[in-house]
Amino acid sequence: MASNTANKPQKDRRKSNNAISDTEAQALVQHAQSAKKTYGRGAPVRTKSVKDRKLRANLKSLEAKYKNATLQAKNAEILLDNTAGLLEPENALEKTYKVRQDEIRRDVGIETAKKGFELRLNELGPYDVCEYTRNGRDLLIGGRKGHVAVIDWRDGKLGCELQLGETVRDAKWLHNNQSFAVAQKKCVYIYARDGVEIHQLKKHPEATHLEFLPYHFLLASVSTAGMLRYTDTSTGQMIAEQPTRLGPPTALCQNPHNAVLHIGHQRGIVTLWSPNTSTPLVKVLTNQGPIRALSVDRAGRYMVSTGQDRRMAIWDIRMFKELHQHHLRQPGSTISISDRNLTAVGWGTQVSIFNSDIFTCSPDDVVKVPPPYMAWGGEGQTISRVRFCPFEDALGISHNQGFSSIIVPGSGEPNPDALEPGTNPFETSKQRRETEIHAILEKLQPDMISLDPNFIGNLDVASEEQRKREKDLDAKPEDKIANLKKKGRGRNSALRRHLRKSGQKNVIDEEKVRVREAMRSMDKREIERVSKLKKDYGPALERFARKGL
Amino acid sequence: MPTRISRSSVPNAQARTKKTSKPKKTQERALNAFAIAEQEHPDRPKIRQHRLGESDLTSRRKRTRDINEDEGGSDDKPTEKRRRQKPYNEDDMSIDEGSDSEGHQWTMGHVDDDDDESIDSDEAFGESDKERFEGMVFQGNSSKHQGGKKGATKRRSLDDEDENIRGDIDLDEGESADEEEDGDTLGEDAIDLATALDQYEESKEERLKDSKKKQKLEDSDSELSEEEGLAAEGADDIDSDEDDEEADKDKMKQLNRLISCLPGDAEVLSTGTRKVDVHESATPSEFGVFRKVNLLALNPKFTDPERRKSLKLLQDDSKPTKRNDIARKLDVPLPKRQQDKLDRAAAKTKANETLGRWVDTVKQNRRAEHLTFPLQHPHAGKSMGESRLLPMTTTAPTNDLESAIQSILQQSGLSNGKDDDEQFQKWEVLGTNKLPLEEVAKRRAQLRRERDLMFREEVRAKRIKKIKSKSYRRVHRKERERMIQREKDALRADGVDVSEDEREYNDRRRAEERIGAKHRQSKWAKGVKKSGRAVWDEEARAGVTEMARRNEELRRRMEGKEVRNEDEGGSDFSSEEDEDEDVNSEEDGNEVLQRQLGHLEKNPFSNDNSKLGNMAFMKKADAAMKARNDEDIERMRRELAGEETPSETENENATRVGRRNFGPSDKIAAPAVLLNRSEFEERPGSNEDDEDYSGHSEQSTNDNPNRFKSSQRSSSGKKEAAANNPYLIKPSKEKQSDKDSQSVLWKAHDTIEALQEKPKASKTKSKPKTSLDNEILEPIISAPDSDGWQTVTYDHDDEGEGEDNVKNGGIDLGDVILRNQALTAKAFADDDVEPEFVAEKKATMEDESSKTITNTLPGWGAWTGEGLSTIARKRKGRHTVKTINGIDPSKRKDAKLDRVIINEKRVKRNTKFLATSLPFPFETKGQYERSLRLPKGREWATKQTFQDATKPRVIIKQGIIQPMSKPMV
Repeated sequence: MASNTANKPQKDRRKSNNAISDTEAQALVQHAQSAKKTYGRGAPVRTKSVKDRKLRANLKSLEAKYKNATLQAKNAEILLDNTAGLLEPENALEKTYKVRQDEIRRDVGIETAKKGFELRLNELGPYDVCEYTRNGRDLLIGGRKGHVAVIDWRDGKLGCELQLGETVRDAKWLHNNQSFAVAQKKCVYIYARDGVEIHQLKKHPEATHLEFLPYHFLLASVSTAGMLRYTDTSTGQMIAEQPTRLGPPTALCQNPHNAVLHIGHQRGIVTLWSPNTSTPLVKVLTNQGPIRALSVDRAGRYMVSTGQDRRMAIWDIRMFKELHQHHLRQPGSTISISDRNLTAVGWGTQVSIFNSDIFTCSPDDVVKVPPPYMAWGGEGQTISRVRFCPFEDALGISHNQGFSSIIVPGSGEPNPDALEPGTNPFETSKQRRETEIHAILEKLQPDMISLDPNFIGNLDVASEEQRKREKDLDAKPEDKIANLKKKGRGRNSALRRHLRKSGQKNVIDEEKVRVREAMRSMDKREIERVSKLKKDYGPALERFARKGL
Repeated sequence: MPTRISRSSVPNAQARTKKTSKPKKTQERALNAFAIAEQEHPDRPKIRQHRLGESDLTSRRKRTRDINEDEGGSDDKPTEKRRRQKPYNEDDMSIDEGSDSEGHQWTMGHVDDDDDESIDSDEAFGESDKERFEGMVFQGNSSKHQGGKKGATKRRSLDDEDENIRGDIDLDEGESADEEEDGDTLGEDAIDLATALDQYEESKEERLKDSKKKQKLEDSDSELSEEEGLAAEGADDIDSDEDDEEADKDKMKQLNRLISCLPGDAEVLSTGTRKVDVHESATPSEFGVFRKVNLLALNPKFTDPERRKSLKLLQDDSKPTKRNDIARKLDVPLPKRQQDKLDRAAAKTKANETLGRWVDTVKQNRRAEHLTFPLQHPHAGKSMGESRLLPMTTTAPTNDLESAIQSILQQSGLSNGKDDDEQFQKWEVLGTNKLPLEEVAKRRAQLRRERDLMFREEVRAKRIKKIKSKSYRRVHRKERERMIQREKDALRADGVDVSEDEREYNDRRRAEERIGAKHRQSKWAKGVKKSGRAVWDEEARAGVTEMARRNEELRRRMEGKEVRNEDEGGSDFSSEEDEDEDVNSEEDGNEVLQRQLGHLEKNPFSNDNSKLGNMAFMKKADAAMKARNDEDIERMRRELAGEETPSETENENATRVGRRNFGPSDKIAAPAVLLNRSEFEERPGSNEDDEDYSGHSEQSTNDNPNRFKSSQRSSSGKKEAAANNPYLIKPSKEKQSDKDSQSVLWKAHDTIEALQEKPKASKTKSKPKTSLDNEILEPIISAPDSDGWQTVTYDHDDEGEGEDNVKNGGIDLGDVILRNQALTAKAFADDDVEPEFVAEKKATMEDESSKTITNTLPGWGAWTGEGLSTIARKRKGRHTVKTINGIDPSKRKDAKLDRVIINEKRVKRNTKFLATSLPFPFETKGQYERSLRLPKGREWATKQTFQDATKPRVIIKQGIIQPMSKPMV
């Protein structure tokens, strides 16, 4: 009896332990699945069908590593100390778009409230430009009449203020807050942070829109004539100059995922460009009238375009399918998509901010357009540009009466990546310098721009025929020796080394003869040079005339 | 003729004596057929395989030799010779079927190689053999020619030892003695050869033994004849056989031969005998020794205890001879080359075996992703706390040693297996994780309450304990005893008997109490004082101090001061309450508490009837205690009450909160809706109306760009209709009343929403309360008119409104929107964007599809001039037809995307970043590209992943790296 009673609870315990382990296992599986969903990189290969044992083992370990990596990435989420959130209505009667800025400012902390401000600049005309640096610290605003200002907007410190006295069509920050490019009436200029003009890019005449690709250090501009030009800002070289052949452009934006430029045209067409092709990668007809504004989200999944036909079209640019489109009351003049996929559209005097729901609702949904998340404006200020501030819950709006910064809860990415060059909001000047060097060293080549940014290293599946066709048959065979001649002289010169390394000494062929010839002439020149130097130095100093200097 | 048995060849216990019939010389020939037949017998000698070589071969050879032997052929090969030497290795008695001495049951077929004896070793040793074995010495000859000392001595020693039993054996084998002889000699020959020549590796002891024997022999050599005589006598004693005479003769012969074998003195004699008898095998020799003779079988025949003893000794001695046996019977060694080859092969297998042990380790190390030198044995655990700090209070054993100790402790009962408890605790903790929050909170509260109660009980018990009144105690004790008695009675009545040991235990306790009573005037106290034990005895001192303390306490109590006693003991009082609690465990905690409070209020301590209680100090103390107790009780009451009330209020609050929250309950939600509704004047029309306009609204919000034009046309048509509609003007009046000054924006959004959500609204109309969202939105849109047009009320806002509003003045927004749409559509009606785009796409598709190019080069590939045939003239030039493979229009990426043109041309500048061919180990493109999928950089992975990915394969730590001493797997 006693033993029975003693055993009973034990059994129970065991059972409950099993139950716990079951639930734990389930939780683990769920965890792994969610990790795979967020951090997984595609479907695994089938290792079982691989016949080679070694390869199979290698692939298995590879898959295990990938899985482990995703799990670890998921686990590292614990380090993300900030969470994103949105305004949420307490009941169905409340509408978030009815929340006004003063209400928000009243309810948030003082420091956050400071992020909403307004710059009244009535005289200097419509402000067409407002841009934030990639870490969201600095603000660049530009008026159409030539007023350009750089502001550390949180501290309210003015970096520089320029009165250019020339039409400013666009302005863009370059890789950090130390320089910016301004598209002026005739050409593009690059200014330092303190307002000093550094470069004049004469090869970018009459640029209407500017875009900067931070990982490739490419400044792109589209001119009124519809020419798309790329300039490498680290070397100053012109990389590509391509005619769009679709007339003056109406909008330009970049896809941050693959550095492809999207240009909006008069005919409602959006073209996608890389510096590697003379024809657009993709042409999409998004709107009926001229495109007014374009924007692509951070992950490169969705493109939003507004046109003169007052439609706002939302496209999935992975499949190039339109998700849906709907009307705005007035043509949307500017769009910005935040890091958390909030979409701000400026139309007329108003700004509507949509939730990320607009990217997820399908065309079959009953509700075609979800109501906006927030709204602003309607006070007679014609909106010319909206830009979300990275890593902040702020939206910058430039309009004809200056600049307004409004608070949009949940718009900014709460967890900045300090390892990413240029995106550390708290970076010191030293860090900035370091990251600049690193970024330049790790600069991507313009040839690497493609619709699929993961193509590097993939297998070339072109047929042999096609490759042959592509091969340049007229190209001259490269002259090895001529190259060697350029390399250097002296005891360990490239020529001498080549002679030394190129096999048997007693075999004399044409190449060797040429090399020897080249060496002899080089030596001769050297001797001449020395004798000339001796003469120059005079008898007292002639001993300092040496070879190889 | 009796055979002598060498000591070394005395078979072990299991081995039966090997009785082989000894064919005589004359019989031999006759029995040849038999012998041949016998050859076929699968009885093979037990010899190392490598020595034998191929068994088939040898058997065949043997047969040939048999034939040769008949012809007296002397061209035997050495191999045959070797073969001949083998037979005496046969000790497989199971086949030989030797039975006990009386039975004489022997399988005749096993006169192994009996035919062998027909050939003299000399004969067998042919010319060629002589050449071949020049360097070698054979025992049979050596005794004669060279007088190989060792072999000889050995033989002698064997003989010597076996003298004693010889007679007996003779008797046993009396019938077949003659036949045996031949085989014996030959066999002897062979074995001796083996032993003498190849110096077979005997164990050292054996050698030692041999040498000892040698010495012994020399001593006893002179007495040989005597011994023989003795042996003969013994034999006579034991058995009186008719063959005795014969046997004796045989014995004599044997002796002679033995002597002849002896070096020196017996040389002449031996040569003589040799010459006389061609087949020396005919005479028994020491080779007989090698046949298996079961000493045990002999045992019963010896009556003399001494002999028995010696026999036993012999037997014991012969125990290890199995090996010896084999050794002796081994062959002539192979030629060195062959032997070396065999040795090498053996060595190789051995080496392979030892190397094989490393295979797994090597494989593992080769396959290992990372190797760290010096290599760590996988099972060699790290020292504790090396990699991370361990908790100080680990209960689980961490390594083998600890677990071993733990298990020993548990087995010996020194350690309580507390892991069970731990597990239970863990389970409890985890279990609470699964419970809902309220449940946990409730449990907590319950626990807290219980703890509180227990604490109070304790306090009270303490107080009671302090009561010094004897009468009080007495009364209570009696009461308690009565209670116990009653209980017991009850139990007895129920049929449960109070056990004897319980009673005993109670008695004992009482006695201990009495013993423990230390009082000043007690005997103990006096004794302590007197003996001064308190000075040195710890216990006594403690007792004294305790006494003093009590004294002091009492004094203080007399003065009416509070006494604080930290001492705790078994409470006498609480038992009753405990029982109560047990009974009422199911009841609510509060009830119990209340009842206890009641108990307390009654104050069981106040016993006025006692004398002590009447004393002044007692009264004072009582009063103080009572006051305190009362206070406590009051407080507890209050607390109990207070606990209830707050919870109630809490509940109320909760419900209130609930009411405030927007819930599904209809009556609560209704006012809010009403309130909101008041902003808008007009409620929409009846449900039926709504339903029938829903279709129209859908039409009006046609967003499909493909149908753009059609929609525009239809809407424009409707617009005209709307302009004539008197309903459209009506809502303009309502605007004045709506002075809520809502932002235009909201309205705009609402309208958009309403337009979008119309179908949903109509669906949910039947149950309007459920979807409030629609409720709100609805009022904006007016009831549809007869044409199916709905109007949407819109607030007039001059500030925010654009040109539309200014233009429209009093016309409502829905119309404005629609008209705007129509206007824009009209504006862009002329530019045929879409058809153009389609045309462009078609052009590109054609351009990029496969093409056929026909090239003609006039003048080339054809003759010209006069005199050409018409055919030749027709063939003016060579056509080169070239097809350029393009992209099939149906296989284009944009084949199904009507408003997209995707460039299918290869981007040449991208190709330099592509792999031109599939790298080696991969079999498919998918595998290869998968291997590149995860970037290694620290930007894309966690630190750990990065470090794992970039860790070098071989890490060598500083210092001396020893080679692996043993396999690790």
